[in-house]
Amino acid sequence: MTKERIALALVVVLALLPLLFAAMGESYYLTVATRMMIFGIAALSLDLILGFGGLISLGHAVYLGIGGYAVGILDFYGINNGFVQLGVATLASAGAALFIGAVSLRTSGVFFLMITLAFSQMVYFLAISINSFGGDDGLTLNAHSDLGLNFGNTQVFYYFVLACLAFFLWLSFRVVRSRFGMLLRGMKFNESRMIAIGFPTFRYKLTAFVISGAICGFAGALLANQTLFVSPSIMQWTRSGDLLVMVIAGGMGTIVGPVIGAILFLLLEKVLASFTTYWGALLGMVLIALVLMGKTGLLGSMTKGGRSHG
Amino acid sequence: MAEPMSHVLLETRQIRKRYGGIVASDGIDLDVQRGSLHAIIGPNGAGKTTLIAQLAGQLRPDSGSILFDGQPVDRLPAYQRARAGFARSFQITNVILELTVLDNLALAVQAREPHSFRFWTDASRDPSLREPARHVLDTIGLSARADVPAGQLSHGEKRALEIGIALATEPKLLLLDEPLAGTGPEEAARVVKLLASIKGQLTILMIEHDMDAVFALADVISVLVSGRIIASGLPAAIRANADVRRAYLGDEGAA
Repeated sequence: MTKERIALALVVVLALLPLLFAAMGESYYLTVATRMMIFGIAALSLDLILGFGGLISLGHAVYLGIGGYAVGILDFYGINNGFVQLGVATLASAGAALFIGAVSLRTSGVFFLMITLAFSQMVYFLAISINSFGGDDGLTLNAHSDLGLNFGNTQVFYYFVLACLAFFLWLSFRVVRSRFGMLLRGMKFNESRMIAIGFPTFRYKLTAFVISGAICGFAGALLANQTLFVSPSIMQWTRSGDLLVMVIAGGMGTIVGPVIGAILFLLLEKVLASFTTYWGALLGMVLIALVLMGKTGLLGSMTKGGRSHG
Repeated sequence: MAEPMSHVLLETRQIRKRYGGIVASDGIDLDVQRGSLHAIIGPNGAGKTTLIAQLAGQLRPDSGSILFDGQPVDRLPAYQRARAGFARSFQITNVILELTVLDNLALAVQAREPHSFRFWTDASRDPSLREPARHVLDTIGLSARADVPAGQLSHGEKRALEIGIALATEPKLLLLDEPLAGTGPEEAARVVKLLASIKGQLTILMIEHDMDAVFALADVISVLVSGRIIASGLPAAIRANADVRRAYLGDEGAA
């Protein structure tokens, strides 16, 4: 099965899921599934730079925070237009990614990891210290982003998020097959070779970083809409770690794998937490098993051959 | 220089490069004639790879100047030199093992385009990339291996692909760093045949240890010893040169 077909199957299953939940009379599951899809978008965005660019960022949750706070702060000032809110969330994240990337992409490996972490910690502590937007306690939103859709209805919001997920999946599959995507892969495997044949690699890496940050910021705006609440914890560095786990467990460089990784991660978190308060340890064991089973992650072992084409 | 510019594609003037106490390039003057195959020979540690890296822009000389097509290129970073018409192959095979042979070449074709900020069309189905890549594939004799990941090629095939990637950028000057490195006799013959087939179509500056290959292919040979060019001339003259025999061929005998 190709990755595109898996993605299509996933979207179809997700589209039918609300019917199942309705039959079960478990509408709460819909909220959980919406959250999974939002993190799926965030994990997918990380995969663009991790799986295709080979950049291990430990600060990716910062864009969730920037996107979320963009919506929260606009709401605070009474601006509820959804196009403005989602647009500002995406652009603000892109701008932050441009700045963070311009500095951090001059390094690589563990230094890149440390710098992205440092930037995310800076923004995290900034959010904690600004009391007018709630500081440590977070910021409660007055209303959902107004796109003319009733986001208060969990089913409407579910399908909106699903549509966004489907769009970003499609977008990402196109991008990784484009010239830009080919170059991104070339740089991941052998950057010096790409420079030697005439590619100015820095500007392409930075572009990928900005696209990735923008998509993640959009996911942050969705998250704020779901909970009508943003707090600094959304961009804690452990959250960035979670995103890495989702991508790696789901299959780096597969686009749809990280989405499945995000769904399973949050599912495991829920299921294991219902059994024991020590669910973190169990989750750790599952992850170790997943990684030991194969470096390619869950989806890598499902799609045989492992052709490097996205 | 007395010669008219148009005959010389690459000219180096007094290139110096020092690593601590080691002088890798000790005032190298080199003229590479347009359309020629110019070989550089010399014992290990003579500074051959350092010279290539300085020409391709991966290393900066401490002093001296490099003229390409009459223009100084000293300030150009590696990627801009590639765009100006330099291409290099590496002594240690430097292909993208994870991508197919054809993808490796298509990326090199793509490198000729003004930019790669093209996010939409499927690059793997674009004839403007694939057809030139297939053409190079023919030239290097790997047509049957187009869709094989480069990591699965034999060593000799990888050496051919290494040269193919450089060719696919349509360079004016091909810098080959030991194209025969690590090849067995059969593989070496294959690479020599490939080089003979492209010789004359572009200018080639080649470092090589295999003297049979050098004397079979080269129009001009320069001998680099301890960072200095001690002799430069036609193959027959180099073979007869007493300094070369003493400094280089003697050295090799000792090693």
